[in-house]
Amino acid sequence: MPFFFNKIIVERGCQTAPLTQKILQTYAHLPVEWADQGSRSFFGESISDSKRTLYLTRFKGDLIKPCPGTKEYICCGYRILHIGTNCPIDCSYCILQAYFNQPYTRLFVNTEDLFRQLNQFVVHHPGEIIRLGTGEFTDSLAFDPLTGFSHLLKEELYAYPNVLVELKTKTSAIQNLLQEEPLKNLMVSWSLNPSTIIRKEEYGAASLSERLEAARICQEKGYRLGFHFDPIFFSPGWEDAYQSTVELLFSTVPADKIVWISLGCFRFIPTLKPIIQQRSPASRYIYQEFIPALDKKMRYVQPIRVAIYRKMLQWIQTYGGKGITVYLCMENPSVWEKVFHFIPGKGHPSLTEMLDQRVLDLGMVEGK
Amino acid sequence: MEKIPLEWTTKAVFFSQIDWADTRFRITYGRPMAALIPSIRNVGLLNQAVLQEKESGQFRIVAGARRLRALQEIGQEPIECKIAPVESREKGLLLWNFFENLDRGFNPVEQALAVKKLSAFLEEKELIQEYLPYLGLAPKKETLERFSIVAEISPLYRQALFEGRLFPETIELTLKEFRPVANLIWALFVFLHWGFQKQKEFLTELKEISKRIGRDWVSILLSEFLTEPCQRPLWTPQQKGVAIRNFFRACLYPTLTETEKAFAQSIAPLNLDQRSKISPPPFFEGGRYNLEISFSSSQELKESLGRIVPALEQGKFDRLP
Repeated sequence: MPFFFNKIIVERGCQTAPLTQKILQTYAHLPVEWADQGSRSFFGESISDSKRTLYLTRFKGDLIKPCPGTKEYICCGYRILHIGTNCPIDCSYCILQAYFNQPYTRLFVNTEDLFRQLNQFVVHHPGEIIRLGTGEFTDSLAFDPLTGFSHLLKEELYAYPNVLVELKTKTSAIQNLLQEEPLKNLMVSWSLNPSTIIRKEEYGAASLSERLEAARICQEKGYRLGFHFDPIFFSPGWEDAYQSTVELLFSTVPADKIVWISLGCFRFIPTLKPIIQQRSPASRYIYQEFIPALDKKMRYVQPIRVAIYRKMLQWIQTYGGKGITVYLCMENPSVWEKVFHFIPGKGHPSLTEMLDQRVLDLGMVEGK
Repeated sequence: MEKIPLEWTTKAVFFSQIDWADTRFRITYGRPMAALIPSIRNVGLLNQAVLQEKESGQFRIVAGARRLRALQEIGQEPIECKIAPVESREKGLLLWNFFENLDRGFNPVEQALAVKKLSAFLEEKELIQEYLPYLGLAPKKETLERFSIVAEISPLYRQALFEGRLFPETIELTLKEFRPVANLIWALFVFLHWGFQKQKEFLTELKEISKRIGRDWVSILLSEFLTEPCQRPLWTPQQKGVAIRNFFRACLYPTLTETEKAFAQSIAPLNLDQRSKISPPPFFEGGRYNLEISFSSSQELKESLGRIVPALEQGKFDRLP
């Protein structure tokens, strides 16, 4: 049983979906409630309790959407494959706590609609390299042992050589991925943080060593890997913790199997702070020098971010070599210039083009 | 709302029979008597005071304390008063006083006193929905909680609340977060002549700094960075306030403060004229600086650019943080 739930709510009209049937069989011991579509909203229920309810629904809107970037910060051009919202892992800093106005851990059981929309999307973007991910609004693999979604996805991806899917996770739930031969356009990525942060702030997630071991096994199987140091936390002693994490990464996983590493400092919408204070009163990272940034998020003041990225880049290049593709997630051009001495899209390929080229060069996708 | 059933008789009462210290029904604060005395002198007492007979034989004031004080000053006694019997229900007498004062409005001290006293007799829902609007307050639970807390303020600080030198929201915040040092904080606010926004920012920042540096508020409040500016005899309250706010800002934004200093140092050698100004981006986020030149003739523009362009060519702008 992958995660502990107290009950399942099934939206009317979803009961016949194969995924619903599969989940109800797996969780046969749990109480099941039925709900009309859109009838459930937050009502005096804590986020913790809400996470313990698994809500099975059909998502009626766009199941493929652009990453919610902002114009002042450079986006990687990633698109979201929308498989669910909220997550059974309970990171204290998780933006989703303040982002969604709907309760529960929600899974979309209408996978046939998802793949139909994927097909339409590919048809409308012929030859274009399409980078997709499922890890924006939930963890990509947390439910995979339950849903087998990675298997379904693989069956679809065979037909779309210009589509790359990146599964982003904080788990070690790779068992389904290991049962079949890897697909060149399906990569697996891990979000990384030092063990001290994982233990304190990422409740329910795999430990650092479990994640790296899972990554090692996946690359041995033949998968390409990505790593995301995001969010990076600034606090006294951060250098030692992150440097040893980078060192551990490259002592576990060969650098040439890594497609890219992204860096992003901790940032949050202001409404998240009281949630963190209330739900994680022991967390100290919220008491740092944050300023309201151009996208209305609170960020570390720019010189701190620049210093962090420069050091992270230096360690990555020291332990992994200069050939590693490193990019910044949602950072402004001024930070890019100070860290990398160029600005994507200004006399240089855009970040989207850089990442597209990277997966083309590695032969993971086929494009124009 | 139920009607308030009250019985009374009329009786002439001497001031010595009144227990002035018994203020259980009093919700009036800060109302001057200056206009009341000539009014009573010229047209007499239009509305009798209401007293309740006590078991001791004395009388407590239900309504009309100011009128009685004015009459006492005039030296007129005995006074014809309405007398409620000993067994009268306290709730009814309190509401009598409340409704008698309704048309004149309530200041913040009176709002707090009324909320505290009414809450002893009314259900929370009734108090919120029916009585808070009478007090000129929003019918919300938070408002009830706020004014219940404000009622706890030491009588020493009621005048500051009345005069708008302390505020219900900042009093509530102080008592919720910094109760052991509340009086010290209020004294500081009054001393520095700070308005609502500055008081609120100070409390928010004090909490943030305390969490961030792991020191208790008392040690921060008593640190030399706060006490030293306050003790400067030649500084105005405004100058003292600025020094304290600067100290807090440097605690909260150490890197930003350093960056501001670096910016000031980097533009000083540019030797710009008075009409030219370089502004950094807000919080130095994004790296986009503004150069503003105001001029009224091409000659002025030429002179300003004559300073800027050479500095640019010498690479002096490269040092901007």
